[in-house]
Amino acid sequence: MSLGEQFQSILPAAQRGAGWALEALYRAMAPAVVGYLRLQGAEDPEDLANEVFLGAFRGLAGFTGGEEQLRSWVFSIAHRRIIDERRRRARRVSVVPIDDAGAGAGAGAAYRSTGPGVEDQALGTVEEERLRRVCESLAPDQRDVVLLRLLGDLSVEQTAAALGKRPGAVKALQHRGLEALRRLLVEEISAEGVSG
Amino acid sequence: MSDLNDYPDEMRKPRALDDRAVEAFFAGRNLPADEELLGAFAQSVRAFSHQPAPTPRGELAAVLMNGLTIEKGDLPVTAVSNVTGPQREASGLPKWRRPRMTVSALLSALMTKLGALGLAAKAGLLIALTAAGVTAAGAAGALPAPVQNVVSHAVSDVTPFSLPTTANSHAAFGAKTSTAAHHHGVSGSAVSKAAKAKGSTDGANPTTGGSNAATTGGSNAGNAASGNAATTGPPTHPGSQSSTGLNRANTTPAKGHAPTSVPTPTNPGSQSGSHPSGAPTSPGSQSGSNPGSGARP
Repeated sequence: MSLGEQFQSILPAAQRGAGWALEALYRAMAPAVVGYLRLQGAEDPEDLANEVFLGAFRGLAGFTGGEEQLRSWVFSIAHRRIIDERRRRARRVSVVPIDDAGAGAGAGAAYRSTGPGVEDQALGTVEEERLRRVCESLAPDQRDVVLLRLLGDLSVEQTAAALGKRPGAVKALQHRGLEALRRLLVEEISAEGVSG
Repeated sequence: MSDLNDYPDEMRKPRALDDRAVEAFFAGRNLPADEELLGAFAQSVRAFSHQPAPTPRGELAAVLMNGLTIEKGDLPVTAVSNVTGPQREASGLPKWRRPRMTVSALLSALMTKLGALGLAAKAGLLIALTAAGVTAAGAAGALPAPVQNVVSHAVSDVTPFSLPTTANSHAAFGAKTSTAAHHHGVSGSAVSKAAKAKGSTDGANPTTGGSNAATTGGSNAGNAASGNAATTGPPTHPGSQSSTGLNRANTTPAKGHAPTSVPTPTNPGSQSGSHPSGAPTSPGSQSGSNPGSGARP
């Protein structure tokens, strides 16, 4: 969701620490950030998003740029957060209770509760789970590029800056990522056809 | 020539994505018809952006509610690693130890700085501290009188302030005494009147005036016992001491217990056993006089 022309009046107030302006920025960017963290496999995407926005708001006084730049900056923070979480997760042994093992998308319960009805929630859960499964099948670099570009609306250059890569490398990654994605989706359809 | 067992659809390889298709995918534009799976995937992913924002929790909720105190000294945006750095440790020193640690840290820092000073700087600091101490003591008026005067004059010459001198201290003591007397009910005017009356009485009575030696001297026991007004002047003759002492005794609150007459002076060692009191007698006075002959009031 874009703030458009309002951004010019919201940013200075947010930089002064005004709660209403910070909330406007949060409402505009939080859904995409939470979605990014969710499809990246975060354990608690909303909690991680809280940390992302707290970090961003605390450093907001030194920010210069427009809405696109702010969005790019917030997503780069989110990306670093998810990298940190992956490292933490790799260091510890994950213990998943048997009862919760089948739930899969337990972390998304609060997010799904915003849906209009139980049926939609169930469909949303299935769709979300399918998306997560597809994204997990991508190589991490390709997944980063695809999701940052899709959810963050970042350009090739902004994505390259957020990931610390050259734009040429990002272009190559997005190309290979889309090829892999297309193959995965075809395989998924074929698998559903066989099982159906 | 194709084999009848070949299936053309299986053999067909998907076309490679060109740059336009890739940019259309990411920009949300229409994709070629044969890329509908990719288009559906992109739409599903973008749908996350249109969900309502999750309810903020904890500290973020407080920030959105009350605003944030922005530190102007924060680093610029480029230092993202600082923004996302490690959280402050929740645990730390117990609260009761924090103030003590603060004080000890301050003291140790002070001692370190003092130790780093040069010899001349240390000497200068010592002189400055001594001067400050002397000035403070002078301001409190706690120095010995000569030193107090010197310090007071020096300070009043150098600065617009004035410190108390010895004279000031005495004046202050007088004022303090006066205030205390007032508070405890002593009337200055009453004291003054009494003193004046007393002075006039003394002047009118020749027996008490120090100048009238004739009446007081001469060991005139009868005169001494006549109950004249109290004497204030010093006796000019040893023989008058008895009279003066009796008169003085009659001016005290214990006058009811004072003897009515003064015994006749006798020789030392021949004191009469009838003497009711040990009133002094003149060694040169006549013995044998009746101590009770004096008029009793």
